[in-house]
Amino acid sequence: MYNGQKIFKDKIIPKSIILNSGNFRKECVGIKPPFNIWANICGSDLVRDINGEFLVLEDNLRVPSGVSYMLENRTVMKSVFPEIFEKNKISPVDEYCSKLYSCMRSLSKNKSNPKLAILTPGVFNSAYFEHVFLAQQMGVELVEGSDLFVENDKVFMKTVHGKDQLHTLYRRIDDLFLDPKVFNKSSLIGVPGIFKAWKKGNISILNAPGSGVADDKVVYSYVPKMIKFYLNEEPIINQVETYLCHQKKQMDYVIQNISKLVVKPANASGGYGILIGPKASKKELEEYVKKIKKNPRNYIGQKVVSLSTSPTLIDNELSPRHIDLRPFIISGSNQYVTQGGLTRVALKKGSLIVNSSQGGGSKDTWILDN
Amino acid sequence: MLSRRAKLIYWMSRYLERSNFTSRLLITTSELQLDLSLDDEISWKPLLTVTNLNKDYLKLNKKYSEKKTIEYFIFNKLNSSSIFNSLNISQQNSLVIRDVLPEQSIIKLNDLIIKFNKNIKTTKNKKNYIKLLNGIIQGSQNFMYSTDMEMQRNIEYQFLRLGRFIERTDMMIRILQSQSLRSKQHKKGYEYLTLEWINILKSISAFQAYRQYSKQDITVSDIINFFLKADIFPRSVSWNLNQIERALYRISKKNELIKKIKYLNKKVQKFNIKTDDMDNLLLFLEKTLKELSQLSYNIEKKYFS
Repeated sequence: MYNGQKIFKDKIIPKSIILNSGNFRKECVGIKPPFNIWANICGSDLVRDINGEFLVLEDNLRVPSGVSYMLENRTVMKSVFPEIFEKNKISPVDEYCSKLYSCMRSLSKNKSNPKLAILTPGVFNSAYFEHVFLAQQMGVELVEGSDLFVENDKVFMKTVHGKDQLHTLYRRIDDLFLDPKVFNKSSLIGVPGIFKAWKKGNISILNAPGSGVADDKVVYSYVPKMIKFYLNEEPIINQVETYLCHQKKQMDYVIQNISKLVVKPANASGGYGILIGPKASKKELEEYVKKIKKNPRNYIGQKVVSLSTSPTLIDNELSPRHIDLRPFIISGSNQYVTQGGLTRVALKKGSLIVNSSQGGGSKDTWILDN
Repeated sequence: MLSRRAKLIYWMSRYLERSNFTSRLLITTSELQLDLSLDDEISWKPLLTVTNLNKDYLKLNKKYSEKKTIEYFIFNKLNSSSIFNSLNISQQNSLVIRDVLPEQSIIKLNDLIIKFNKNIKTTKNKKNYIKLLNGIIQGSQNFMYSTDMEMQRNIEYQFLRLGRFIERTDMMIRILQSQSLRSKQHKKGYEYLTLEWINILKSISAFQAYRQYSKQDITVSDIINFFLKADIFPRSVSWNLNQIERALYRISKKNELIKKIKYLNKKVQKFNIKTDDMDNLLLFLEKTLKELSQLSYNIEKKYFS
């Protein structure tokens, strides 16, 4: 998409879909990040449908979060139920941070003494806990935009002993706020000039700017075709059936059946802006139809997958609650997939919204080695 | 270490130490008043004077009173150095830099603040506010103990110590100033002068240490000597200046600030104390405080800007 664009030429995915994506960054065209990997950290959301089949609900390749909950949940479970861990071979998840550290090191140009950091928007960000946690576990600096500056297209940290060149940055802020010189000019949490430094290869950034284009829920629907195109393989895990509103026929279907579907904005996250047809009022449905008609490219429809449930402790009683599963994948010089993941729980009875920003909880997830 | 984070840890430590010493100052004054039946102005005004808060206090209150001064020092949100504000700043800073602080230290600090907020309404009488203040001293010491036991001796730790000892020196000098001001107001031959200074020793848990250190009859000048110069007492001015020097050395061996702190310490050691000349002592304390404040400014400029 950002380099050869062969996938457009071979008409696997329409060029207009990508160019019109809110997360496509034209400034990234022609750039090649280390190992040609754009999304070094990926968290794909999996669900299990009524037939017991695992399906990919969506991909998160921009700034996937939640891994600290996965690790903390395991710590809590080990201390509460040590005897269960003794009796069963439960695959460990603890190596995530060391794998992430190795990945960050592998991306650095400086191999002998690489300086690594995590870029956070600051203490008021809802994921600040995770930023601190990861910095602590990896022993790397936790920086804010104001701690960094660019000189001769190199990025430096302001330390008590003067400037110190930074080689790899795990950014936990959105592309648009990363560099006010290139993207959002009013950004106060970014680093002026960092984009150019990255473009010149003087710093590695993960995930690479522009990687969020793959978060686009319209782009998601083309992933099986991409797998076939690039790998000549069939997907191991299928997707949830998706209708693209920018295609007239599919839009008509979505509008006619909106009360039976889940409709999502293509570029939102955190569970915001989702319409769950069977639970929406007539007025909500009508308003949503207007939104779709106004900007069809920005909406997709999906069949309601009645997510599987898991026993959950609610008011001191076990009660079924809907869940999904987010395993994390790290890609650098090597690739690593967590043997477990973040299971998110919709704590409200009957709710299908598992996002923590919408009141969802989380659970430890065990892969048993039988 | 990032400059911004060094600054946060340094000020977290300073404000926590400030809450500790403000508590001690208040307990000392309260006990002095109880022992010697001093009137409110003699008891409480020196405290406000040495902390440069007298003017601001009088904007809010017409006269000096135990109740109002206690409220002003513990809870007042307009007083940037009130215990309430000091603890809040410490906690906020600790949240930002919690990746460098041991988990137990953060728990201790949170415990302290939770207890403070829980007991904030129970301070209407002397018994209760002294209990609250003792809780703050104990809580802040628990935090220090935990950092001393669990933190790596890295640069973060040195900035934590630097903040702690600069604040402790500053507050120690202010304790001496407040008592010197009080002493100055008494007429010649005032029989309880020594008792007042002994009270100061007790309030900062220094009486036992003083008796072990000084093998002569108790005199005011001997006590002041102890507060200023005792190199084995961890709250004396000289001992704290030594600690500041050490922390600076560990941050960077080539450090022009070390010379300045050594010079200041020499002056403290050379100072000649005369009991009947409180003016001279006050002048010396004021100069020392000024030099310390200049040093603190230079630290900010060198490491945090």
